[in-house]
Order: sequence, then C-alpha cells, then structure tokens
Amino acid sequence: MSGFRLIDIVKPILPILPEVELPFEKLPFDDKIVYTIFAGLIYLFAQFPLVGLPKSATPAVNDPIYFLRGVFGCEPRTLLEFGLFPNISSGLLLQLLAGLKVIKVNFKVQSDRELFQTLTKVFAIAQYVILTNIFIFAGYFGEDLSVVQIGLINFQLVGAGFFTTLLAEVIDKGFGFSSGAMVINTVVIATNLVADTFGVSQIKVGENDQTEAQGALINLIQGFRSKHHTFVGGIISAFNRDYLPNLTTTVIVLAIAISVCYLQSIRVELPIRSTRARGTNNVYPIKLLYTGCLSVLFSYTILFYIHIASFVLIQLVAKNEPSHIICKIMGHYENANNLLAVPTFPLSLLTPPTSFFNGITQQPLTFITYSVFVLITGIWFADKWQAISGSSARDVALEFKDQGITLMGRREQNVAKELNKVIPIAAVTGASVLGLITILGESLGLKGKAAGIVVGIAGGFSMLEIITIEYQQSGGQSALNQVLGVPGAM
Amino acid sequence: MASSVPPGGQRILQKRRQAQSVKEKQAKQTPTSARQAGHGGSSSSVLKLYTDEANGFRVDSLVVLFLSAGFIFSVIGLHLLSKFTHII
Repeated sequence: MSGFRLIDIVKPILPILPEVELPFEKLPFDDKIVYTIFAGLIYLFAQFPLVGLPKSATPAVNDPIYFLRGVFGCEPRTLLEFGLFPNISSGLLLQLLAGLKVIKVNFKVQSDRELFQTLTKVFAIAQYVILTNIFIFAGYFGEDLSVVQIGLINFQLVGAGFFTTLLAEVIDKGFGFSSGAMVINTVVIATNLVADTFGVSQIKVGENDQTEAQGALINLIQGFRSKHHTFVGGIISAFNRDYLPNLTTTVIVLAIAISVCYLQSIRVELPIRSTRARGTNNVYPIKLLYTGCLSVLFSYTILFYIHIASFVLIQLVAKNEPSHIICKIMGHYENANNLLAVPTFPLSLLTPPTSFFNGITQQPLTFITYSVFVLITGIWFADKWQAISGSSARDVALEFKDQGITLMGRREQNVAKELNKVIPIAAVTGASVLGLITILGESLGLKGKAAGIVVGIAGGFSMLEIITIEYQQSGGQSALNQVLGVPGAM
Repeated sequence: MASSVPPGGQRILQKRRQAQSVKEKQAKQTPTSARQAGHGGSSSSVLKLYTDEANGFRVDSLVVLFLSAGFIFSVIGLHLLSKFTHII
C-alpha cells in the first residue's frame, strides 16, 4: 500500500452500507424472470408524485434537463426525478477512470473489487443527495419551502434513489439478468414508448378543463369527436401538438427503433476452427454495435453534468437574471409551455432544439456543435471502452486459447493481432453510427426521445443476448417452455 | 557443432532482454476491469456495477424488494396525511 487511493475513502462507511447477499446457488431461470420483472415493476410504480410541493399551479423554475430525461428513466416531479442517472453515471465514469488507471484499483484482489463497487454505490447515492439539494435550493420545487418540506423532499428523492440503487444491485448480483441499471432503464423506455403511443390517461390542457389523451394514437381517435377541436383541426393537432406526444414524433421514434434493430444485425463473421478436433468449423460474430448503447449513454452522461453545472451557475447563483454577469456569459433559461426551461445562446449550443423549425431559425449553430459533441464523446468512449472492458482483442484471443479455438488460416499467436484489426474499428464505427442516428432524431425535435429509444433498443438487445444464452443453458425446466409451446416440453 | 547455443528464445542478448522486459511489464500490469481479471462485471455492451459481495450490512434480496415497495407505500401514506390533515 503506497500512497493514497480513492477507493480507500469508503472503508469507514463500509459496515453501515446495505449490501445485497449473493445467492447461495445459481437461481433457476424462472426465478430470475420473476425477480427481474418485480424489480422493474417496483421501479415503474415509483413514478409517483412528490409530497410536500407547494400547490401553486405554475412553478417558477422549469425543467432544465427535459431532453435528458428520456435516456435515464427520469420523470419530472415524481420520486424518479433523477431516475437511474446517478447509478449509470457513477458506474460508467468510475469504471472508465479505473480502466484508464486514473483511479488505482487492482481488480485481481478481491478486497479491491469490493471497495471499488462500494465506491460506485457511495458515489451514486451522494449524487442523489447533491442533485436533490441543487434542485431544492434552485427553487425547482417551489420558492420559500419550509424546513419540513425540504426535509420531506430530501427523504423522498434520496430514499427513492437509495432503493433504486439496491434494486439494480439485486439484479446485478445474479437474482436477475445481468445488469440491473440497464434492465430497469430498458423497461422504463419500453413503457414510455407504449404510454406515448397508446396511453389513455387524460391530461388537462388549456384553461377550460379540456383534456387530451397522453397517447398519440388515442388522441387521434379522440380528436374525431372532441369538443374543443373541429374534425380536421383534431387530426392536425394529433400530428403537431407540442405539449404531449404527437403522431409525427411517434412515427419518427418507431423509424429510429427499426433502424437500430437493423444495425444490431450487422456483423463481421470471422471463420473459426477448433484446434483439438478436425472439421468443426464455425463463425465468431463481431457486431457493428460492439459497445452497444454505452457510447450514447456516456455522451448523455457528460451532457447531463454540463447542464447540471450550468443550472447551478445560472439558476442557483445568478437567479436566471439576464443582466447578471454569469447569464451574459452562459445564457439564461427561457420558459416554454410552462414546463421546460430552454437555455439561450451559449448554453443552447449543447441543447437539441425543441423542434426542427425552431432549430433552423433560432439556433442553427446547435446542429453543428451538438452533433460534434455527441460524435466525439461517443467515439472516444467506444475506443477506450472496447480496450478496457475486458472484451478487447487480447481478451478475446485469450478466451479463444482457453476454449481451443483459433481463427481459420491463422496461427494461434496471431489471433489477437487479427482481432485487433476488427474489434476497435467495429466499436468506433458502431458508436459513430449510433451517434448519427441519435443526432438525426434529436435534431428533429424529439426532446430526448430519440436518444432514449436508441439506448432502449440497443440496450434491450444486449440484455436479450444474455437472456437467450441463459435460456439455452438452463431454461430446459422453465415454465416458459410450456407457455411458448416449445416442442418437446410437457 | 562448435558453439552450443541454447535452444529456443531470442538469439541476441539485447533482444532477449527486450523480450524479458516486455514480459515483465505485462506481468506487472493490473487488469483494467473486473471482467479482464476474470470476475464478471461490465462487458463491451453491458454496464454491470456489482460483482462481489462486499463486507457491508448484509440484506436479503427479497427484503430489498419488500422494503422498496414499503417505501413507495410510505409516500402514498404521506400523500393521504397531507390531504386530510394539512400538516404538510
């Protein structure tokens, strides 16, 4: 032990931090499904409005991170104000820093790994506390809150964050399928997509108690006989209302979803053969989306930090007054629909426009700066992540060696070199293509839905891959067999 | 058959040293992630946060599920309390 290591600072907190026990034995396939579904359901159930907010109709401070919410499963003014963001960001950042040797962790030593994961957890919960109090003192939950109200909001948001962390941990520890944060995120994005299309819940719009359905398709059908629209006006409104999901955005989101599904199937198939037996030829696929949704998640994590930092400066320090020196340098927030806080010039460079025409007329530079930002962060991340995540060319080559596989027509020593020609390029190209799709969708004014669906579909496929492997290995006894009518089952 | 060169390895001393130092460097290098060390964890497309059981305050997985449901019910309770008593 020489010098100070960041992971050592969590040592004193270790005994009081809840730690989910590992399962005694490997759980059956069906149990894992039940755990995963219940963890997802409990998370969805937590989309519950906060207690203790003032009852005034229009809040003074609007939502500054509206376009980031779709990616991290956040719901404004509910228990899930910050959703999964602290978990995902602390995991991504700390693992990246450890991989780049900025934080000293020796992953070979068990105590180091334990400390490292505890650090991840502490960092996540600390972020919940910090974000909650930033939002409280910036006046997001209302001006002049009493001490009781501040305490209550802290209790609710930090408590929700704490349980979100534990739910993700339950799934991670082997009670569910692989990664908790990503499973829950995928569940939330899928639910949101359905709610935006078929949601029947009636939401008040306008002054005279007019209500419209949340779902775009339901709204179109209701528009035929609603009182505050003419017949044609109802149809037009179904396609271009901007306060709730409309059919145009739904169609664009579906188009993005389909194109990501298509990209998912693109891969290079390297021919392999066994070194032990003759005639056993096969292919080893290397997907174009080698880093999956993580590159987009990383770009959005960085965007989130930038926007929270500027929210602190603009709202908390400068009180959003355009004459203040900070607001002159960084821009200020403007109110849109009484819901969103849309930043003005310098900060707007990193904010996707609320609609395509707004973007063209008011912030044309954004298209360039935002695209460059997402592409550069995504590509940089993919390049680093494929090398450090334990699936780099060298690691795959080692795996080949263990399993007695080699690339067709290559000597065993050259496998790593050969894989190195494919894997980094696949990772970087995949990240840039995903980034381009995200940029395209966001430029059309989807307010985070494009990035959300990209993360959801790409993440969902990564999950599906793991679930399928698990099913093939131990799903023989599964009750799913009977439900799906697999031949040979009971 | 005059000089007896040991079989295998690099022929020149300098090269042998180089190979040796490369080997040592690789041995000294710590793995960059839990998966590279062979203990599960994040892969190229999956972000996994928790791999080991740290020495914390142990809780059962079912307890976590029930407590988190209980937490949400407590918030529902707070809603009712504020609705009917106007304390908050």
